[in-house]
Amino acid sequence: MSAALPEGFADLSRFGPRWFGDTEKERHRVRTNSERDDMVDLYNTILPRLDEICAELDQHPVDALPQAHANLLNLALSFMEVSLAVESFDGAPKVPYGFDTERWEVHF
Amino acid sequence: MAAPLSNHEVNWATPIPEMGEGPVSVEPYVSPEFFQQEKQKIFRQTWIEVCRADMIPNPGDYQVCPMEVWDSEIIVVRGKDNQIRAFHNVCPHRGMKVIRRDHGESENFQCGHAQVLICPFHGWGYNLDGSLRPVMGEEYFDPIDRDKVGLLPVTLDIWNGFVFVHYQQQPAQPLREFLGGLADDMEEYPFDTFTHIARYSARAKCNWKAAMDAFHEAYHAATLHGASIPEAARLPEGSVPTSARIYGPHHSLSMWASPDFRPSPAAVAAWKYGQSFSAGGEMNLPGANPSNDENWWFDINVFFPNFFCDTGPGWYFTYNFRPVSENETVWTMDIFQIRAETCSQRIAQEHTKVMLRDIVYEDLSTLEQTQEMLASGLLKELMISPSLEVAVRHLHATAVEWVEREEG
Repeated sequence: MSAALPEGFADLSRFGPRWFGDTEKERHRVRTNSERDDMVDLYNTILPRLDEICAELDQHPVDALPQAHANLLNLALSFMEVSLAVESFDGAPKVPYGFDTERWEVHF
Repeated sequence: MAAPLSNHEVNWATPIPEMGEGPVSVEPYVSPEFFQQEKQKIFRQTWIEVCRADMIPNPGDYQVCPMEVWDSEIIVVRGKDNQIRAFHNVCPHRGMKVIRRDHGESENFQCGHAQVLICPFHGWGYNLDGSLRPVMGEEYFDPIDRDKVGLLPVTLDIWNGFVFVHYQQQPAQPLREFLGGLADDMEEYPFDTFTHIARYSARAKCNWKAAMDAFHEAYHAATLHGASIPEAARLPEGSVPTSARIYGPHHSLSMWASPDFRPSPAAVAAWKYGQSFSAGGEMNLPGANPSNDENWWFDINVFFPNFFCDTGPGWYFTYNFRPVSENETVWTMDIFQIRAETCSQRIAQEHTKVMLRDIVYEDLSTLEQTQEMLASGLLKELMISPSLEVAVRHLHATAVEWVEREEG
């Protein structure tokens, strides 16, 4: 997987390729194996850039994205992936007291 | 006594049947004998939802579903004529499973594609309509009557894209009649315009009814979801449904979306670009909010015995609770959203999915701990609110009623 991002977003490349997973299954696996500071960094960096990210991505059809744009979309989806962990679970990678992640199957 | 939870009353939008009063018995949640009765008198007498037709969109697409309550496993497959059929996953030659599972494949489902279904034991092959193909070495067998020998068919019908199967070759009630008034309410919901965006499953050591009970009341939200939905804790009036409907064995509740709900920053972003699960949707879809409640959030729709189809503004999700034994259930959740036209809508939708998923991690966390203690025998009865937990009481009463029915 290329770690390239569209022009104007090169500073976010430090999140790749780890947070560029193209399935929920992969993004969720990364999140549940992350540290609090990792997720807080991702959250705090992406949240104020979301308008800019959406404006860039919406210049392309959602089902025909160039690779760099696909990476950027997946990064924004990873932001959503960690959002509850950061906002509600104090950075815990797994839902506190939640059902066992290892026994919870994410099918795709 | 604490202050009243809510200023809104429950609108009882249908007649409410007699369901008994006072505490309910623990026995139906823990008894192996009761479960054996449920297998015979409920799960072999009702329509069971297994998937959506558009999950197997092309001829040859199939899904294999274990059906522990039938002591079987079925194949749901789309034929070359575009008809969807179901068969028991058994080769009539020697009883082998026609579709088998490899290492690492999910125990809960298998999805795949085949032009012909070939038994991996001796290579007997079946067309997608279940008919037997030429058999290798057929001349060494007694003559095979192809009108009689083929994959064993399972009764199947479809409502609004949802595929249901029935154990009986001739069910007492046709599907649509069985689904009754709840399906009438939901008939116009635009299920066909949605995309399947997530499937989760888990095997939990919990009775199927106790598992369902974690999902058809909102009373738990203020406490159990105090972390994932802090607004549920701040606004506990959401514990009280705005309306409730009971249609025979099925039931439906509408949930309260407080106008004071303060979404998180990620939810605010989601609402800016599309829809979120967090309260605040303004999309009015036909077939939802059947009692025209103000401050409507979403509907919890439960088709007896074990299928949820919860409909919201721009999303819906389903749960199937597949009983394995009196204390084990396979739970599945499928999430559907209106197709994202743009990347920003796609990003918004991810919020709905992640939020639902993380909330449900909390819901599932209660199942095994509850079952373990119910099975201890310490409690003989449970205290069920007639209003906040009406669905818990209704499911319990319905299961008992069906089990106590006379045969035939």
